[in-house]
Amino acid sequence: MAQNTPMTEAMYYLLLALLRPAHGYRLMQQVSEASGGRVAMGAGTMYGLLSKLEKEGLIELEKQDERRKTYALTNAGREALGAEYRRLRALVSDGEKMEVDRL
Amino acid sequence: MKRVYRISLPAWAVAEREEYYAQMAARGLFVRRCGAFLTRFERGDPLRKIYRLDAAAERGTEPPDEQRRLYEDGGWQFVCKSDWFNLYAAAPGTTELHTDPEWQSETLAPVRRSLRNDVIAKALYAVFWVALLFANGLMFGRGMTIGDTVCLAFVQLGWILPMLLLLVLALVASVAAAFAHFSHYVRSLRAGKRPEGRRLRRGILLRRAEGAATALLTAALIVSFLSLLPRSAPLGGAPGDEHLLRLEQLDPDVQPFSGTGLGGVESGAVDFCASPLASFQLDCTQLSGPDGTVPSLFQHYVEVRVPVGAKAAAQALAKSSFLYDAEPVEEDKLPDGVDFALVNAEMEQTVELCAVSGNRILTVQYIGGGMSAADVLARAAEALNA
Repeated sequence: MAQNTPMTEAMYYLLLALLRPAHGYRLMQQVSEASGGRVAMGAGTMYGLLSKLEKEGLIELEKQDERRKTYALTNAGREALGAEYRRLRALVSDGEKMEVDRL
Repeated sequence: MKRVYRISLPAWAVAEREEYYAQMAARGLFVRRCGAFLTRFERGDPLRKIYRLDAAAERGTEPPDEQRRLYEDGGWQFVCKSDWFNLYAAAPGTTELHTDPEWQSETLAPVRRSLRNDVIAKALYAVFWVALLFANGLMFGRGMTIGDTVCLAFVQLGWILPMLLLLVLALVASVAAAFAHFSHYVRSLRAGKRPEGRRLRRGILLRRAEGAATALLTAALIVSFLSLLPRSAPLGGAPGDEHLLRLEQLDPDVQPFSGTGLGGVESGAVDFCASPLASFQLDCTQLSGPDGTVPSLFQHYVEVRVPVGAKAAAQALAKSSFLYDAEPVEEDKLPDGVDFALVNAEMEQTVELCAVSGNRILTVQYIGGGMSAADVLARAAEALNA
């Protein structure tokens, strides 16, 4: 499954947004907030990713009312997010060692 | 609300359709229903809108409520279902429905698979039809060439043959083009860019041309079928029970039986070609006695109404019948009015031949009489030119 492979930007930000359980539309806003407005996630991408991540066991349905489903990270989702964070940090750290920021 | 109908663009032309619906909305025509052949629009005040086609979970299904609500929250209103897709509309400036083209390309994988399977199925269908049309000749191990096989199928089926072949080929070409077009769209998404419907005008023209060609071919096919209706057999033998050559004309010494029953003139059919498609039969029988005693005459008269040439048709028919071993008669020995003839090698008290004059072919089987092959051929020539 995807935990061992680099995540797409959309997947990473969605897991990041799900640190606070939320429904789909709220998640779209949280992704935008978490990325400082840099990443805007479309409803189609959001819906598809939610289905995919739920199927892969990274997120789960926390509650469902008449109108909306609220999702939350599973333990596997937290581990995957942590692993991706560490991978990204290592990439940045390696770049810093080579003084890439001076380019 | 006034309804307007337009010919639908192909379901798989995603970028072109999205652009088309946006252009129509700007002209005050809002898409309401996407049919396979017609798209229904409703007239209103011109409005700038953007449209997006989103892959449906299953072909021909509408989105579930949860998905519809999430899309509405994101500014996208469900418009209608459309084959593999669901159509959504939004105001300009709304965040794209799919912000990750690569992920979007994944959602389209089932559509692409379905199109690919369609191409394979249609190609197999085409091969089956072509094989069936030409099975006639292929089943014989009598030196039938491909030309003979095509000719025989042509003779038996007339214009239906090229029409059917064209229709089947058009079908295969159409699904193959659809697959290629859609694959290009998916590849562009994978490469991270959203293709635009720049070839909209060409797409609409092609769609109209495709519709016109299909209608024309279908009409031609119907006319071809109708042209066969008045005939008792696809080859169009002599009308009714009439026969071209009479036994007494062939053999003046014979006293043909004039009653009904075993003797006399019958219009019953005797198999001539042993192939499943061939309805070419020796369908005019004349016996000399009430007990069916010899001599007897079987014949079949054909007018070839397709442009394969009577000579080529006669050769092909001969190869698929009891005349498969027949030799062509040398030109200087042909009676007047006969362009070409095939005669089976000398047989005791039996003459089997096929004579061609213009677009007419007369096949004769004369059994038990004393006439020579040359005499029978001369009588056949007279009958053909009478």
